[in-house]
Amino acid sequence: MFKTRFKRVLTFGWQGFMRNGWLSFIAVVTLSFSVMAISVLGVLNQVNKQVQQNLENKLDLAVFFRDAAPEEKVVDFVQQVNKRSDVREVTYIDKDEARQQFLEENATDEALIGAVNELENPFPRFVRIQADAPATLARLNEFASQTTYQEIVESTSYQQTKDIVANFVNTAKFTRLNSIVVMLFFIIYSVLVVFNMIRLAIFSRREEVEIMRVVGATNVLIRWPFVVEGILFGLIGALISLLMIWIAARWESGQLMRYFSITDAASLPSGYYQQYFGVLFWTNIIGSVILATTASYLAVRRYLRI
Amino acid sequence: MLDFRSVTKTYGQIEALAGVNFRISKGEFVSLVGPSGAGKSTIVKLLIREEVPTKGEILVANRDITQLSRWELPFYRRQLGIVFQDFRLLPNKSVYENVAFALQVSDATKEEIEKKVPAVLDMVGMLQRADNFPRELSGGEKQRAAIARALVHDPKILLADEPTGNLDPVNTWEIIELLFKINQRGTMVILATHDKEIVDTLKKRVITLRAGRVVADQEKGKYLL
Repeated sequence: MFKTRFKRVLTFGWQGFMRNGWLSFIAVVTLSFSVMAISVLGVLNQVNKQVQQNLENKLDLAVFFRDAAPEEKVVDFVQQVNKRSDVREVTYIDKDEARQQFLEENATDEALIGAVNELENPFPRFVRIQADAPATLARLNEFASQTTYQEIVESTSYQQTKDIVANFVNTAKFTRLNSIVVMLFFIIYSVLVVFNMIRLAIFSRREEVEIMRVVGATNVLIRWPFVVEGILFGLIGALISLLMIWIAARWESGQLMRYFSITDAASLPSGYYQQYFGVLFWTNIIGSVILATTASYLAVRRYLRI
Repeated sequence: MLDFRSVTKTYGQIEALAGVNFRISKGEFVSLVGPSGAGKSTIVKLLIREEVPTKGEILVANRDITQLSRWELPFYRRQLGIVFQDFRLLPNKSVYENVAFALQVSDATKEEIEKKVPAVLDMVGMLQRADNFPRELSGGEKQRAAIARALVHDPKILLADEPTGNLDPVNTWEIIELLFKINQRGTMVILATHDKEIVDTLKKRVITLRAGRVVADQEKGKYLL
């Protein structure tokens, strides 16, 4: 009996979806646009985070040592820094490496290279310290500037990067907060639009529900076909949303390649689409199916109360 | 079989039924007559439990249907066949599917449906229109399809609320003949109508209502108002 009922619920749901073509079309389109808006914002949020992460990785503090500083004290300083929990990576560069780096970075400037080659190595030893967060750089600078290390530390790069770090920290906070607010707004907006759309679709078929009740149909046989329709709205809406995002990502990538000469595929929207496809696919499908079925379930409930 | 005991129904200040009493036995054909607002449709609504009375009892097969729970209602309604003036066919189902639906709701098997639906469609003369949708049918055809749906599960009671209200004279008499035929098979038929000609021709029991009260109850009666 359960099997027969289940089969009938599926059949009625499918018939309802197909035979109310226009209403189904509108519901699917509304759902796909809503899900697409949330997905695009979600991906942008993720990309934003990744870009911030990349920038954070580039922010570091260089501590330059005096030429006269004893090697063992420098080594001790490096060890002390390494022990700190707010430090992610410490790279020690000796004088020769510092000189080599400078020559490589300025390989095209022959005059400069000639001048450097004529002098005794003018470059100091230094450590490049990467912190766990940009805000930590100030604390690390204080640590390197304390009187204990005045004998070995000549200077730090903090004064030059202080404003950049402060700006970066503020911008990161601002964009994160804003993107969360915008995401939340769109989620609430989309949920309301989809709920209302499905409520209207079922409202226009309320007479059907009344007829079913009068004929002696149980609530299960009335309600669940509408829920099946909701599942179909959700599935098709999600697939259309994924397709539209893919088309938009391809188009956007083409534009970026054309106008900004970006060649790294992974940095383009289509690259992000591929990178996040799994997450996008499942969040789109699960999110829109839950949204549409809940809306259908609740919308039909009010007509079952007699 | 069916017993209305001092049934009163009020909507705010308006008294749609005022202490109505009558009994109908198994297999009877009864016309409920009266002008608009007399209370005919209220009786039909109470019988299908779309409404509950403000006071009184309604016994169907010795069971007070006013006490039915929400869960029992579908099972009770499956014992009724209902025909409305506005047909109330499911617009997105074919004639066959509309009729089959009345069986599907009571978990009838596929074989049972395939046997009963064509038979009842044949009986009402709609077998040729089985695959058509309601929008493709005339008024008379829609009402035949509605009657087929009301009959297919062999109900004990057939309620017809102004079934000819939207039909031309030819279709009207075809529908009345059909109801008569159904009654001859042993089904109780309750016909709510204000069509004097039909009532007078039927020569069956007539319960006359006026302003929510039973003003006459005659065997082989006539339209009095």
